[in-house]
Amino acid sequence: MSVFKSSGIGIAGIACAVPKNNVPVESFTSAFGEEAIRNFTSVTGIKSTYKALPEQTASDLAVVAAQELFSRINVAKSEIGAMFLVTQSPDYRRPSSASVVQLRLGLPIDCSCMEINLGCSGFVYGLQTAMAMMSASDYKYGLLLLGETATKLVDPMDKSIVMMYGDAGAAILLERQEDVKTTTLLRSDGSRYKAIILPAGGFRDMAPDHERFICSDGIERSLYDIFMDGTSVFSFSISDIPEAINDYLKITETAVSDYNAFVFHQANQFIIKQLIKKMKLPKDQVPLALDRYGNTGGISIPLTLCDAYGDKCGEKLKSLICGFGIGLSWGVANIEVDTDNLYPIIQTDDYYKEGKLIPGQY
Amino acid sequence: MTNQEKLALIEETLELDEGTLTPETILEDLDKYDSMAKLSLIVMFDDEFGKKVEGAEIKAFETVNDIMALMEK
Repeated sequence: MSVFKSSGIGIAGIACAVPKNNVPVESFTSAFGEEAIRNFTSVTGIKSTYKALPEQTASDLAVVAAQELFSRINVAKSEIGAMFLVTQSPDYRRPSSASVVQLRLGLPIDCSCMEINLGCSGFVYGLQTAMAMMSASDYKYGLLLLGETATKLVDPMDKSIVMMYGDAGAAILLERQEDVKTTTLLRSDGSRYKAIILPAGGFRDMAPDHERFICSDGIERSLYDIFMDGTSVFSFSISDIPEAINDYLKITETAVSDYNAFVFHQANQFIIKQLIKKMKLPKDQVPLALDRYGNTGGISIPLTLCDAYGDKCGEKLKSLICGFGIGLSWGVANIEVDTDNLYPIIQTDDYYKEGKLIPGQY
Repeated sequence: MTNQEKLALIEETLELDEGTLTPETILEDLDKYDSMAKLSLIVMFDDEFGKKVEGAEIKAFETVNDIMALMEK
């Protein structure tokens, strides 16, 4: 089984950032009608999201989150040995946005930097990867960043998704902490790679026609728009996910009562309610942030932690986290974090103006 | 589970009045057979039969009888 253990590495702090531009679902009333909006909110629980400016990228949001983290915690950047950026919305086809972020954060050349291409499972995968790198070295800090601007990939008339995605960034500082033990279970099923997909613009089909066609869910899209097979993804979420969590509890010889927070990827409220029912979880220990932020992909777990516990003092969270989605890819882990180290979510319009290259400039 | 019980369970899942459905009812003819109804069927199969139903199986349903045929433990 794909189970990983690490010890002696803990979370020093988590900061998150969203764009300033708030988009209430009611703003889609003229496009889809009142009833469709009401139905959407009653199933998904989403009432509004934050949408990045056209110039603002995932790495911009991750950088702002990281700067917030550095303003809260005094860290010598020379002591950060590795940085990971989890995103599926890179600034360029190449190089990876991790290079740009390294420059902007002033991380030293003696810091390994790389991008991880994952979506909703990205926090769990990224955390395990960052911990494994730290375990194999002796540097003091590791930095895990996540950024996503999925709103830019949606056809504006796609009522199944356009109100669902929200943009966000997160920054997690890892440090050496005695007595912290983490177990992570990671799974992936490539046979379902088409369940959530955006086909155009990759190297299989770099510049196909923009012709629109009716997809299997009856909604019109082009190959340039993100597609989600909602029924299959739902089936995955309420069967494979509880199964993975149950396997995780068995492997770690723990029970629901050993945790005081269950922080799930904020896919939609209906899915989270099913998980609560099926796993018999205490409802008040399963925080929701999607009503105000939407589905923010891999950022949703750190964002929900900061949203639900960012204003609490001195509480020790023993949380079970679970990320799941595109790939399909999913993971379960435990994290222990002091609520004092979860910072309130900030809003930003910042973007990297020098990042936009003009012909003749390079 | 008798056919009558199966029909009652489908009616309950789709929030329809008792006696609305027959095995021959065509699903697309029902106003209530929307994407939410399909999710509710997935939950019903999971809760009542411990059965994982894939999106493709749900999409293949044409009549109430197609749903009933899968309703076995």
